[in-house]
Amino acid sequence: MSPGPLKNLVKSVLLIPNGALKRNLTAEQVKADLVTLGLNDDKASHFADQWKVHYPALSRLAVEQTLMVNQLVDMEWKFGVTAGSSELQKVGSIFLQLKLVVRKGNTTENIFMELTLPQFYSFLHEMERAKASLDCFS
Amino acid sequence: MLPHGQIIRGFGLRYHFYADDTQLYACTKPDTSTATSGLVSCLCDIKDGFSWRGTGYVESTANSLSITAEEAKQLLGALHSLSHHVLFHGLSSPERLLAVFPDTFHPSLKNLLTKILLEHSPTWRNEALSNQISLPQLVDMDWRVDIKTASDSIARMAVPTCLVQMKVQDDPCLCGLRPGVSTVTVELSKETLETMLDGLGRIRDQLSAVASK
Repeated sequence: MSPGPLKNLVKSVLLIPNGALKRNLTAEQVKADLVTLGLNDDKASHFADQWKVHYPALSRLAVEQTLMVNQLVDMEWKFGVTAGSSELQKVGSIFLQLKLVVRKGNTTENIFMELTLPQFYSFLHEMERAKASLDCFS
Repeated sequence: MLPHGQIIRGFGLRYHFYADDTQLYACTKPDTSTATSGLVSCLCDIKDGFSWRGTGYVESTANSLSITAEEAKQLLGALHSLSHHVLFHGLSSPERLLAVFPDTFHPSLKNLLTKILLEHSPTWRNEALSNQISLPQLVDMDWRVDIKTASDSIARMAVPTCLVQMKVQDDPCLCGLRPGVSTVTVELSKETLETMLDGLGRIRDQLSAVASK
């Protein structure tokens, strides 16, 4: 068979699982749809069984493909002690430096920032509150 | 009150003082290079007016002590070096401060200066600490939790996600009096947030280990 018609054929075949995934159909509904479309019974049941097995993985993949704006990809950190400066020979204050890697379109952007100790503790506190809120909803 | 009007007039500019801002007027010929350099020098002088090098301090010192402007500049420079030396080496006890002065120095003036330096060192130290150079600093942080209910790939779902907005301020030492603040908004999924909290928790544990030593 030549590649052109084969491509169109495969595309139309893939429409069925894509549509089923989009509308969160159960295995029985998929089987009923396939039978209506003219597929014979045992092939439809086989497909429905495969659907039941692979449905969680497929839906997870679809969720991961959902739009995420400025997705945080990675975070690196270091903290240390300021030993001295041009104004003060002995300083001894603690600093924390964060590098956030954010995905913007196809490339990633690095964002650097520095936090003092009190800022770090309030940042941690806010992040824990956000996590508690997220946990409530899942 | 520093004579800003005098300084501005000295550069051939005109001005209007309003309640919350000041406008400077410079007449320019088609060749504008001289106008901008005059404006820059004027602004630098006003900024310096807040430091000991400014003409304001030198003049007022010269007038109140009945000395020449040259001598006033020397005096202010010497005082500045002395306070810088004291702050840099962290001299906090009277004996160490007295040891800085030469033996032939006037004793009561020495005691007075020592007393003043001791009194102001902590304030100066705190100010120097807060004005250190640094990477852009995190100033503010807000977050919000969303539930994604639908998208073009799935018609119905309930996925929680978190949006965090951080305001980062550039180093004020580099940008003068008005450092720029840039805003960064990032989206985190639940797993990313957990990993991030893991990392932050490890930082907290290491910090408490360092602090307890």
